[in-house]
This record gives sequence, structure tokens and C-alpha cells, in this order.
Amino acid sequence: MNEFLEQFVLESRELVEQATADLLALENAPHDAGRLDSVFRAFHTLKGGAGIVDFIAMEHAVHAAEDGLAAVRSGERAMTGALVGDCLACLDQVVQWLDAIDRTGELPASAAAGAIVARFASDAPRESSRALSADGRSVLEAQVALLDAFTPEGWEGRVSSAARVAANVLASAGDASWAELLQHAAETSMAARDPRVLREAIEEILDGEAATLAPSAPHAPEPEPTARTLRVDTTRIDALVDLTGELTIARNAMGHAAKLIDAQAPALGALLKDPLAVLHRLTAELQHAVLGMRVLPLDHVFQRFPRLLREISAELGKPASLVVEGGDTEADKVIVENLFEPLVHVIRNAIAHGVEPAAKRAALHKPAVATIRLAASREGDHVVVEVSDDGQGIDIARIREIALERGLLDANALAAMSEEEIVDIIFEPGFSTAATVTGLSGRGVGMDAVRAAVRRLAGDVRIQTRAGSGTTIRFLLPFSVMITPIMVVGAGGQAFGIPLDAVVETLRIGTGDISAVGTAQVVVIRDRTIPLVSLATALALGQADPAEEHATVVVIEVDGQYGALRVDRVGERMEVMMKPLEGLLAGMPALAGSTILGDGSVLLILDLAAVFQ
Amino acid sequence: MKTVSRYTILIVDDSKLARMAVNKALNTLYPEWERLEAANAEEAVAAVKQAAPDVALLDFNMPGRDDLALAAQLREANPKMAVAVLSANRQQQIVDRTSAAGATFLAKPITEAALGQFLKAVVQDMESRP
Repeated sequence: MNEFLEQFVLESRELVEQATADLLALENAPHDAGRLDSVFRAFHTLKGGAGIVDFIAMEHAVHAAEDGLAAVRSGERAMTGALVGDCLACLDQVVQWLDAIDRTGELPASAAAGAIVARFASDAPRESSRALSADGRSVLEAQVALLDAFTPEGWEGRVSSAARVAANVLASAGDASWAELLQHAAETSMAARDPRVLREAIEEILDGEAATLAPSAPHAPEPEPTARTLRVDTTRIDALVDLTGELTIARNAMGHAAKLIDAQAPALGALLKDPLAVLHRLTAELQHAVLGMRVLPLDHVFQRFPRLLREISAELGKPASLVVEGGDTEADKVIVENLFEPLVHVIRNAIAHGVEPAAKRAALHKPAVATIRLAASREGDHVVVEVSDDGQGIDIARIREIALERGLLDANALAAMSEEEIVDIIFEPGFSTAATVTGLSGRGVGMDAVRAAVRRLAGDVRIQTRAGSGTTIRFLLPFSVMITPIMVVGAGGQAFGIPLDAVVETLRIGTGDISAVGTAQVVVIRDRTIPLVSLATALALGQADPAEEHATVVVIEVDGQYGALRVDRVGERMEVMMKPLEGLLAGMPALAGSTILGDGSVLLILDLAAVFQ
Repeated sequence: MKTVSRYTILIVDDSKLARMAVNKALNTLYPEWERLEAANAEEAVAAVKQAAPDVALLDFNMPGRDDLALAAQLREANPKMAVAVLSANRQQQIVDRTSAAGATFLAKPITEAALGQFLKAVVQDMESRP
């Protein structure tokens, strides 16, 4: 035995002894950080020693255990009895190998780490994807044979080719986790000018795979079912979301091209139809899966409120306590992170305007401490966030007065409105009782800002109020922000997108049905008189030809209000990823966002509420 | 006074096997260099103060001490000394922290080629000094 191997065995036995003692101590005291550091270091040094003497199987086995312990150190997994058992099993294997080296004076020729590595990988998701086909196995076996045929000439080429082929086989089997191992082995082979290192690594993968697939022995302890989670930098997820968005754009581009092909050569077009449908379905599923990753529990934003509520309540001199429900409800990270501002405002309002002064509460026999409820729940594809108070409710008469005073609406219009519609006036720009009444609710920001913030997230706000018993502000938000179904319309020679969920119907009407009311136009559709806006006129793109006998209109519904949008033509429906407006367009009031179409052009998406204002 | 080509190198690692591996590589690379070994942080600090080595190789995973803190301490004791930190964990964070501490990162197990490259740069740097 050479001096290196001698020293290796000596040191390894000491380290096994140390690691065993640490593991047994950890089984009784799983949170002993000192022991954890010590056992981690022992495994790490064992791995280092194995690397020095080129004992690859042991290096891999110990590395797997070290990774398990590293996850405990970083708090990603718990120190369980099962993990202790797996680490001890790894040490048992090491001792067997060390005994073999003592006996033979050489590294054990047939050592394989697969079974040990599999112990640590057994609860990882990769197990399910880890299945080499028979073809894959035979290709790997061929690489082993290739590397066996050792001749002094051309071995470098063989090593790099075998490494490449093996990496491809494993990648196509859906298992990239061995790639690093292979690359390392190939590099070591190159440096040591010895193809056997790579050969052993490939053999070990074949063995390890067999070990994973082999039915477990009846007495083998079942691995504890632990929730396996992976921490991933959010920028990586965002990159994935962006890529998925670009894939969707590319898919739309293909759809566009396929349509052109179909028009010119229907036989070819028919060929494209099915694969495009599959692509469509797959990108939709991919999007769903990717967005499912980018979620945060609402607690992420809710947890800031108990303290904030205390401050607001002290500031306004109105005692209030916060009840939080459904904080574990999840929503897209973008939504969760953008909810803070509107929620602060709504909660401020609830205390400033909803909760009665102490004397009044006492007179009404209400509890002295008001209750503000902040609740989240999932409703289908939507996430609902509600802020409720047990205060006095919204004073509808007072809203009427303010709307009149500020000239938002005239008395006739107000008289025709339902109570619900009147309550909704608080969302109008310029209503803002907040700044004037108390001077405390934010920086003069009204409920219109709250609604704008929620709408930017493709959501909406509703109010339920009952005189004397309180108000609930309800945010209805999409679970994820990404895909908007739109309909394309043409006006003034340009194309625009309108959100499909606002579209009620599209129809052709006679221009004679349009009548003027002052400067505005109305049209009677299905016995209902609704305002009509010519899109070209609204966007200052030109006037409709007065000689035209027919007009194409899209009937839309926004906030429960109907409107008819006169357009030149109605185009296709599609799902697009809406991007917020940037640069020069950011200030345009009638635009909600933009998207890139199949032919590469930019489609502007309209903010219908603004168009009809 | 040292001759131009003869330097002193300090090898800090609690594993004797690891020190042997570095020694073996040095036997080929720079057999004439003087070698010092330390199995722990205290020995390393003492060796630097006593012998003022030109180069130090530190194992990242030493017990009882933050290795980068040790690297900084050794450099403070001997600012001209080149320091390399050896680690089997090739995580970007460790690489970054190593270079932030003014040391060079070397992957473990150390290969003769990687060690040779590092030492060659160190020698060039020392010989270009006035």
C-alpha cells in the first residue's frame, strides 16, 4: 500500500468515528449546531480525502450525505432519524471499503456509490424522472466498452466523445443531475490521462440507476415522507416566466404564419393545424405550471399590518384590533407585492371613516375596541382580499351631498342612481373625502387611487356597506398576472385590443339607429339605450364617414355600465401577455397596456373605462 | 536573503492526507521551495509570524475558525504573502468571498495544473516587485 492510501485509511477511520459520534448525538439533540458543524466537516473531509486518492465511488457516496447535511445546516430540511440512518449507512459502506483497502492494499475495484446516493436522493423529485430506457442503457454500456479499449492513440477524443454521448443520454432521460458528476469525471480523466475515471463514473450511473429501480428489500426502512422543497432565486423564476411569455408570443407568430400558409396552400395549412393545436395546449400548460411556481402566501403582505394598525389606531385615537384570516392563501408574487399600498389605504379609511368615535360607539353599545378584519380566500381562478370594519357604514346621503358640491354629478343623475351606484362614487377621481375630512388618511390619495392600483393588477374593487354595522371593501384579483384574452378591433386604420371579458356582443347596426344627445351619441340595442363612442374619434384618429349606412359596434360592459364602441372592423380573439406601458405611452389615459403580435407588431390594449369617460 | 527562485510556502489543512497531496504536487512543481505545515489556525498564525512565508494555502473547512477570517488575519500579519483558499465547494458565494478577502480560490482536490498556475502567477508577481 502506498503512503497516500495508508494515510487515507488512517484519517478516514478517525473521521468515521467522529462522524458516528456526532450523528448519534444529533439523533437525541437534532438542533445541536456544534455537532452538526462537526459531522458536516467530517463528511466534507472524508470526501476531500477520497478525492485525493481518486476513490470516486466513495467521493460520490460521501458527497450525497454531505449535501443532505448541508441542507440541514441551511435550514432547508430537518435533522430526522431517517437522515441520521442514511448517513450511518453511508459510513458503514465507507468502513467496508476501508477494510477492503486494508486487505488488498488497493482501492476496491467494483465499488459503486449508487445505492448510497439513491438513499439520499430517494425523496427527491428526480426519482420519478430517472428511468433510462433500454436503449439509453445500451448506449451507456457502449461508452464503457469504448473507454475499455484503451490504446495510447486518440484516447482524449474517446473520453470527450464518451462524456458527451453519456451526458446526452442522461439528459434525454430527464436526469441532468448526473451531468456535473460526468463532467467532473471527464475532467479528471483528462487531467490524469486515464480514461478509466470516466468509465467508472458511467458504470456507477448504470449501477445506481439499477439500484433505484430495483424493488426495495422487504426489511429496508421506508424513507420518511418529508416535504421536499427547493429554494430558488426569484429572478430565476421571473426569467422562466419571461421565457414562457416569449414562447407564447412565438407561438402566436407561428399561428399567424400558419394562417398565411393556409390561405395560399390549404393542403399545407391542414398539416400545420394539429401540431399547432398541440403547441397551443402545451404552452398553456407550461404557463400554468410556471405561474404556479411564482406564488407567495398573502401573509407576506398581511404580516405587516398588525403593527401598522396599532400605529394608525393610535394616531387617530380610535382603538381597533386586527383579525387576519386566510393568510396562507397564495397568489402570484406580483399581486402579493403590489397589495400593500392599496390595503394600507383601505385600512386607514376603515378606521378614519368607518369606525365611530368612542362616545358614539358607547352610545350604540358597540365594543369599545373596533374590529378590522383582513381576509383572503381563493375563488376559482381568483383571489379575494377583503377588509371589513364593524363601524357605521357609508353614509349614502353624505356621498350625494359631496358629489353635488364637487360637481361630480348633477341632482338628476344622482336621483336616478341606485344606492350601490352612489356608494361607487367614492371611487371617482375628485371625490376623495379622505384628504379633506380628516387630513390623515394618506397623502390626499382617494379611493380612486385604490381602484387604479387594483385594476393595474387586472383586478377590481367592490364595496358592501350596511348602515350602522360596517363596510367591506372587496378586492377581486386574478391568481396570476400574465394572460389576458383580448379581441382585436380596427379603428382609424389601426388595430387595438380590448379585454375580451368586457365584450358583451358585436353587431352591425344601421347608422340611422344612432342618435345625438348633446355632443354625445347613444344607440338603442335590445331595448336599452346605451352611450356610443366612435373609437376613431375618441382616439383622434379621424371621423366616421357620415354617408356610411352601417356601423360595426362592440357592446361592452365595464363596471356594470354598458357602452357601444363603434369600430371599423372586428378581428380575431387571442390570448396575449399584457405588458404595462412604458416610455412615451405610459401617460396615455385610454391605454391599459401593450402586447406583441404574431407578425411582430405592437398591439395597444385599450382601457375601456377611460375611453368611455 | 533568499535567492530569487526559492520561496517559502505554508500549507494549512487539518488533514495530513491533504497536506501530503499538496507536497506531492510541489515535489514536481517547485521541489526547491521551503515548506511549512500547519494543522490548525493557531499553528498557522505562529508559522506566519515566525517564518514570514511568501505563499499560504488554506483549507476552507478548518474546524473552529472562519477560514476567510483566518486568511485575513494571516495577510495582516504578513501583507506581502499571497494566499489561496482551497475548497471542495465551488459555490459562487465562497468564490466571491474569497476574492473579497484578497485571496485566490482553488478547487479541491487540488490538481498539479491548478496549483502550478497559481504559483506561477505568484512567482511572477513577486519577481516583478521592485
